[in-house]
Amino acid sequence: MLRLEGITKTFASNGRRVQAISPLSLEVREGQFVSLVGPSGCGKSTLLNIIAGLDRADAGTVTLDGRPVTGPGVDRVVVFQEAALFPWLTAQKNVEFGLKMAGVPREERSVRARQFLKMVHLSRFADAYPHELSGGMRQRVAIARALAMDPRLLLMDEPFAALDAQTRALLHEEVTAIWAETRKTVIFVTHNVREAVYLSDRILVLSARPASIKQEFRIPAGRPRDLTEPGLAYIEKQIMESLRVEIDQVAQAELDSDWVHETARLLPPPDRNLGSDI
Amino acid sequence: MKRLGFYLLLIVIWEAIYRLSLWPPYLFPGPLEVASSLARGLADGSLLLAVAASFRRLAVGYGLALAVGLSLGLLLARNRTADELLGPLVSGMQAIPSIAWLPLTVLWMGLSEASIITIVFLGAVWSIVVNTQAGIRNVPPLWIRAARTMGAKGSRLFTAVVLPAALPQMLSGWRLAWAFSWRSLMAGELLSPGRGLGEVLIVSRNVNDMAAVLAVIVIIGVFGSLVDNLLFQRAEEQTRRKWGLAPA
Repeated sequence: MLRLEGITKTFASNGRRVQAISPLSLEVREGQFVSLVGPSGCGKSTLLNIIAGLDRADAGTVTLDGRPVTGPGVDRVVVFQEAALFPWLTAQKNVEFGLKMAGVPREERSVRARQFLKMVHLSRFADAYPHELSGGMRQRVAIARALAMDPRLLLMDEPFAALDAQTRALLHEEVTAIWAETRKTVIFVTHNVREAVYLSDRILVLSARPASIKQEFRIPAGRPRDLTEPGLAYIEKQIMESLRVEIDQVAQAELDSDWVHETARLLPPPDRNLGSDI
Repeated sequence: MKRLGFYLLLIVIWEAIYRLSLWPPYLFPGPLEVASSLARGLADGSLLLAVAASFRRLAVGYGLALAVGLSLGLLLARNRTADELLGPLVSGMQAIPSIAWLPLTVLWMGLSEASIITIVFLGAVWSIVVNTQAGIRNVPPLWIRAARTMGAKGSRLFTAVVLPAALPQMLSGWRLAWAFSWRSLMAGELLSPGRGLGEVLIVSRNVNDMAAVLAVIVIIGVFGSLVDNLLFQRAEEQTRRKWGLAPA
């Protein structure tokens, strides 16, 4: 069980203090797949880094299974947006990296790495270097590398944001299958609501900066999911609407003051043009 | 094959100009004379001795530069205070041609082996320091964060991630330093006596043996580029290919 209590975080940028996270509390039960969605720059990645121990909260506590988190640890492994594979190591050696750091003997390391490469269907590419793999394959290796550590908690920071739609759809199915098999607790940061609805048990909508949990949605559907199903489409629409308010707020802060978000404006079809452009 | 033909052509042109007798042969020797001078020097062992003596200085100077340059580069990369204090000094030193130190080293160490080795060392060490530091500093933070979440820290993090990640840039520093140390060696040997290729150059000029001078230059060129090609370029290319930085 992951528990966050009263987490706050402030950044100093250009001499000004910017509050990134206002007191935020959260509980995630074992085996849950939880997505954090929010407008860009709202601090969802910061929150993930705090859980990972890569960043420190100004106040509040993070505990995993009752033990406080004080720094990065192998019980919480992160899959980053760019796969962050080491270019001087083959796929196999990349997956072995964490095991090597943990002092697992060579043979066992190799067997386990192969097992997890098989799980992401990349057995044939064990000896390939990262630059020889496509973006989707690299992300698969990164997932295998994280799973090989057998973490309590898998943290994913917009892992599929840089991939094309087809590759992403494939990886969604893959992640669902892997999650069903391993039953890991997953915290998944994304700005893609569809992705979140497809994958998660719970979706937390974060507010614009400073981030706090604005609303929580539960997805009671089984897997694999069909997003065209009316129930899921309805939830997706609700989340979108909840998020829209926050996105507008960010846009209003960033864009010119005359910007307004216009919904459902009727554009005249081009064949009705009666010559106004002559 | 194309390359070989091109160099043969260059030699033929050289021979042709020589045959035109625009300059007296003692000022402008032909390729055959240079070749025979080279063969003579290699046969009686005098050139081999000179090469050995020069190479020894080079090896000692360059080896010292590697050891000192790497440790200093590491220090500057890891320690902010050291970087603030020593950083400007190092880049200043890099701008000084190492031969400018010769009067000083001659005063301190005499016209000795040590003074030339010091010049070679000073020629090579700064680019090693600068590239080691830059290589380590330019390691993408993402890799370090990823490694830390997988339980790497302290010296393991350094040897398993930081060093391999910094290797490409460190390699190009070593290569640069190799070229600099050759230049420093020649300058040092020309200006201070003692067995070596520089000495052969001076003596040959004194007896007006231009063929021997050119023979030494050929040796220097071939030897320097051989090491560069076989050692540094190959290592650099290998890492580049592995990392996917160059077309395989």
